[in-house]
Amino acid sequence: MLISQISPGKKSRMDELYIEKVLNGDIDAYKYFVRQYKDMAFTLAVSVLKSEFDAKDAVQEAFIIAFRKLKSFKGNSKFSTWFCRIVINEALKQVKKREKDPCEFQDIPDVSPEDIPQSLVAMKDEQQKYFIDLALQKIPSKEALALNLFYLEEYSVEEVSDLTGWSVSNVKVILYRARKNMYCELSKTLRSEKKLLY
Amino acid sequence: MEPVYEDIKLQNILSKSRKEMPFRDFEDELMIEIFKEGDRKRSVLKNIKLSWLFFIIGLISGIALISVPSLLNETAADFTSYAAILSILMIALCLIILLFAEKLIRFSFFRDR
Repeated sequence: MLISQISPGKKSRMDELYIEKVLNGDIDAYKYFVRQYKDMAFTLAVSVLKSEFDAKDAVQEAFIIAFRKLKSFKGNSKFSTWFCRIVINEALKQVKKREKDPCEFQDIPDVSPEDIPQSLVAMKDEQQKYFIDLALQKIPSKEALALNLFYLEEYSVEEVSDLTGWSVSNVKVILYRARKNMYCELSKTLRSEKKLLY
Repeated sequence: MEPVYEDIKLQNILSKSRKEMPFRDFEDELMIEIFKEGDRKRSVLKNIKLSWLFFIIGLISGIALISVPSLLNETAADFTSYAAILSILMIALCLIILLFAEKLIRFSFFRDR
């Protein structure tokens, strides 16, 4: 059975089991966490850093920090949430280092889901993925991160606030702008692509 | 309701942005670093144990250095100059204990913070 097919309850019990193993000196057992969470961490880090190489470094550092601090993990939250927080901190730290966070509020034209061309729906999965990635690259790091946490990882607004350290109202504002920005970038990219094709 | 429709639509769109780690050697590279980290942790623990051992040896030697000669020289004529040296030694010993004990306790019990 694949790890991804395990139910959330069982997954969290498995997490506990492997934490105990690692804490008892079985370092090889840490591979379980790497296999389980590397893709989730990578998706999060890419959304913040917009570069696969930087994201790889951030994820690697996050795994090392998690290993170092595993003893201090008290189990008050799920391991995935705790680890997610480390990944976000590490990614945001790298953004700060580059001093290139473009999360300045700009005017966004009003675009609704209906404005997304039907061509996106008609596209093949790989093409859809390409355009969605392109749009995500163009929106600010914080907005991409908020979208990722809220829609992909399915955290609530309160949980996003807890994970990122932003206030609940700030999360709501960022999410609102992120949605608008995402639709706007998506329709812009698709329109420009259409012009190139015809 | 529009917001729900919008949320579902966006969720469907974003589900396609889920990524897989494209670097094949990521897991191996990371595990090498983790094993190094494990070795480092073990060597830190070993060093802390050794530090405690030498601290206790130093403590016992210091107390012996101060107390044994003072017992032998209690009746000596130049007792006053000897007492001055002894008090300097005592102050030095106390300072060393304070400085190193604090560091040792911090590294032994609070190093994760």
